Amino acid sequence: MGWLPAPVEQLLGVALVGELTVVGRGGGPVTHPLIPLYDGKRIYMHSSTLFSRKLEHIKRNPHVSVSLTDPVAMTGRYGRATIQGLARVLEDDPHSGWERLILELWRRKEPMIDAFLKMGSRCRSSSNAR
Amino acid sequence: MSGVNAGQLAKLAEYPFVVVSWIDDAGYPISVAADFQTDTIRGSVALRAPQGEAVAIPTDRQLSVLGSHIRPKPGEGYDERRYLQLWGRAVAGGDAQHLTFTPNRAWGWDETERCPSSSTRSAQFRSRAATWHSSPPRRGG
Repeated sequence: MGWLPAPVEQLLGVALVGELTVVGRGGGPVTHPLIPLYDGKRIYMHSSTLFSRKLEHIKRNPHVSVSLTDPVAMTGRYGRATIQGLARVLEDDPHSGWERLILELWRRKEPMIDAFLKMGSRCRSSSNAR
Repeated sequence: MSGVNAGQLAKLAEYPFVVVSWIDDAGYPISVAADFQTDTIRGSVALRAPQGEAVAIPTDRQLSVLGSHIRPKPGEGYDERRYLQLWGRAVAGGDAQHLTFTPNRAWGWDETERCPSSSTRSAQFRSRAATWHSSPPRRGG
């Protein structure tokens, strides 16, 4: 499949949550639990675009890590891994570009995503992504 | 007493383990999972890194300590998302395997408190428009 060690790719393939850690404004770690979407080359994650502190942090310092730790979020698998790398914010086409990149990967982990997308918003809350 | 209140520590105690993160000497974040025990009187958290971890939790820099929860829903996805993150520093504990972490700041999020209706997820999907990727990882495993 990809180039990460097979056990790590297996965890990425099932993980409903991974911990994205970025370098905060003061130089310390800031961690965000997010769903990791892996296409065999890159790990994609997603965020609100407005007032997102993690995006600000990444733009200022692209050094990040993604850790996989929770067996409950990995269909009972007990392996753990931390992956370090450089992140880049993709915001060229915030309206539909993200769907082309990650929707199919996302759908495999969260089949209800299509229903969520159709339902629209009944409770505005984007602060979790800050 | 630390800058984190007993209620926040009590909430942390509800998680089965924590993820401890810091910035390594190369400037990259790194994380390990750890067993822990809160002390609401002292305002501290005793951390124990699981055996077999290749890296040790440092005592010379800022740490974040995160408890996180979801409930998988096969065929659907997941819900019950919540997390609590504390920041502070650690000192060596009473033995070689334990450290005492004293937090000075906390931040948490719970989807049931933010949006108690069953439609919690939908709003967030609407708001997510940016993606990013990490490439290439320096280390895996």
